[in-house]
Amino acid sequence: MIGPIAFDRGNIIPIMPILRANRAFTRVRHLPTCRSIAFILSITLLVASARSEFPEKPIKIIIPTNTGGEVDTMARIFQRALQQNSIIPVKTVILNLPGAGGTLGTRRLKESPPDGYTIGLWTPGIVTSKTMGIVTYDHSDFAIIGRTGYSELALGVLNSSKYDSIESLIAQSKERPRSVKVATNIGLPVHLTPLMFAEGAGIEFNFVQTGGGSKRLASILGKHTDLSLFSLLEFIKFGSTGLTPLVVLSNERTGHFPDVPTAKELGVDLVMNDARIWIAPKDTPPERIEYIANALKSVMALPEIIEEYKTLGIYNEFGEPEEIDAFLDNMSERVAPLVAKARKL
Amino acid sequence: MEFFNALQHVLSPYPFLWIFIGVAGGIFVGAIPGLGGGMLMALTVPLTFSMDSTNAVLLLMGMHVGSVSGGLISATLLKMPGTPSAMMTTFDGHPMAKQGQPGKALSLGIGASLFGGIISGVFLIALAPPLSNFAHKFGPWEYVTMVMMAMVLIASISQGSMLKGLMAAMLGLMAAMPGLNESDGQLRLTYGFDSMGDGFNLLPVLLGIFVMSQIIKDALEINKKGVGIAMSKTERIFPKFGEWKRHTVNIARSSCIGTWVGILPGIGASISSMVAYGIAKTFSKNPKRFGTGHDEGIVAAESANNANAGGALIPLITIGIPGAPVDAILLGAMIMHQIQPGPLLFQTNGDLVWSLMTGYIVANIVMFLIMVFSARHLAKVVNINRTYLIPVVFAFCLIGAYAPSNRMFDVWVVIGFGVVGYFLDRARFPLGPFVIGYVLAGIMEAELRSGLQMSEGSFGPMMTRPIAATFTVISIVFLVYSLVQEWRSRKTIPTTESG
Repeated sequence: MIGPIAFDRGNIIPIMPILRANRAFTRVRHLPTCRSIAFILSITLLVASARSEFPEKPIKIIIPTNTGGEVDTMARIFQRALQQNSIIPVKTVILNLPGAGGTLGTRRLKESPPDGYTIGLWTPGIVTSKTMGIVTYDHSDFAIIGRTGYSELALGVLNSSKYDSIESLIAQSKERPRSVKVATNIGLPVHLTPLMFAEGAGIEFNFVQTGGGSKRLASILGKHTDLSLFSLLEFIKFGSTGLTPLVVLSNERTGHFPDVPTAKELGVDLVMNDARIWIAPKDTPPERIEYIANALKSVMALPEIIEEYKTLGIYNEFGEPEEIDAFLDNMSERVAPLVAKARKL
Repeated sequence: MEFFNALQHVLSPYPFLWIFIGVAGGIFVGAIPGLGGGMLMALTVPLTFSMDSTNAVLLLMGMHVGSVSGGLISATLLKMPGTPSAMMTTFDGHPMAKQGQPGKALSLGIGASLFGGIISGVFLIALAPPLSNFAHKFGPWEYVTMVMMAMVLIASISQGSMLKGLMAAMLGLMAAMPGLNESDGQLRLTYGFDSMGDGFNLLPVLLGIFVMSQIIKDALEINKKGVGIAMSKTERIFPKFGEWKRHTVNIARSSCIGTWVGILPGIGASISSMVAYGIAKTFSKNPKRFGTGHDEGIVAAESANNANAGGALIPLITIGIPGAPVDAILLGAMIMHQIQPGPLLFQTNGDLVWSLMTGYIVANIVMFLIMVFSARHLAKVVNINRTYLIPVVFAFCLIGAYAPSNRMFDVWVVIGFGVVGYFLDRARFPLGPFVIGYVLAGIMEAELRSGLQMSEGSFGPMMTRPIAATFTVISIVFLVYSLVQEWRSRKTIPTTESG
């Protein structure tokens, strides 16, 4: 599939510094002593930099959402841990690049120099943005560093709704197609995952665009929509408001909600989790990827992070790149045939 | 009682110091066009890691309160809104200052900000849970009809040509169209430019239209001696509250609107002052004077935007939903301090919630005192030679545009819309309707499409849902009323001309 023609505008920005550098250079040329000193200095620097080990300057973490978003908060928890425990000798800088479903951020990361000094944190949305035709790249155009934990997902309703179990929801939905309104963010995993479920169960949902996590929750609480995808933690956290899971999308039933069936039990082959995936530009040297992966692993082993993961409802389990690659490949394959449906709404 | 315990805590030296620092810093960045509270808060969050969590939250909340209020200073004195929410203040604040009453304009704005803050603070403490529950009743159709009502109410906001006002609004609406269309997940009108993927964002557009256009205008007229705004030494800034009696209804109404719009997630503070301004104008005895330096306009806009800040805290503390983008930063900061916001926050971190609520009121009082006693010095900014002032504002404007999304594209947007704004202004197109069209079009389209997705394409819910129907009826009645008025005035003009 050929995507929209893209003009690369990224080149405009560095023009100014280059011009200035040139001017400085011409001035220096008239002073031979200065030039030789500069030469010797730069050689020394080059040698020094060749010897010293990665990392030696701050590492930028590109976050494709606003400050305060879920992914951003996750990155900042890591930033805090890296800073307080001196796990790496340099600082980390968080760069928020929100917009266009996270694609502004992922594109900047893709175009960043592959030297390990620019990395990013994102979600399986990296796959859906391509399938929806917003961008022409997906996870295979990045080097995957790893996944720092995941949370289980479930589809749920308000306990006062007319759907008291997933069976009754499917039955009523078969009787009256498109009668179940699903609060979603069109084109993102939160849209395509319920769509995959509907396909598997042989029903049709009516997707309603509501926006990010908090707006979906507000829409469910206000009974404007019926069903939405949330992480298990959200079901636990907002349980007092009446938010109840109907079906979990994990391999087995969970301890928190032992009575809630899995999609597999219903004959729907859908296991999906909400992963936070660290990525780097494609040709980043493998040893630097490994260095960063090890730093992330050490953060995850810190007692306070283990505690924090528990309260955030995230499984403290590092996902190796191969595993994540396979997971995203599988998702990409399964989502692709649904694109026509997803776009039609 | 929890309230008094919390008050005691908030007024003890350290928490109070943090509130004071937050408010002062917030006012400072708020007054600088381009820099805003959100940016300051985002930069401060990493610095709070080692702080006590309550102090950190108070500091950030103080910054928010300060920045919302600080924006009125530059809006009044320079006709450049320091923050997006101060946009409506330029319409009456600046004309009043130009007419030789900058002190009165500032004093009205500051006083209204205080009342707006306190009133929403009272709602926050007394009625947070029920208000938050009621807010859930607001679905797409209620949003659509509410925004529609706001549009009708402020349709005649522009001075001069109604036609030019409408044209400017349409242009603003067009500026809101490009980018990822969330309602169907597809890109729209990006012309293949990747940077256009998110369209034109609010802050760069606003900075371009209001601030950059003014910079261009000033720069071109730098040799002309401008109309200086001089504040006489005797002019008092501290509001004479005795004279405020006639504003009571306006303040109460605008603060309620501000609080309510604040509670609704996803609607910014600028919309709350737009709605409050529109309604104040509708109910005013002198609607014609709005936009010419009318005190009611300043009071409505400033009490609404400060009340908005308090309103936005309501869903944050009751269910853990941020009411505004800046509250998302506050929410993120709480999580980083190992506090889980959510419906159980009151039970798990009651002390923090009470400190936050009482701290909000204290922050508003601190804001009032700082502003009142520093306004005279801040006002000197208008006496600074424009040759020095323009480059500084220009630089901050570009930094402010660049920082939130870290991309150069937004800087070009500021400059581009600055040029657009400059030429529109030269052709005597009002800039207010342009931005109002821009702001309201985005939310109107998104909510209308969500509503249509829900109703499978039917517009029926506009009349069948009680709250939505009320808004629809008000909009229609007012539209007909203003058309009749317009028609009558047209009928009278030719007769006077011929006679």
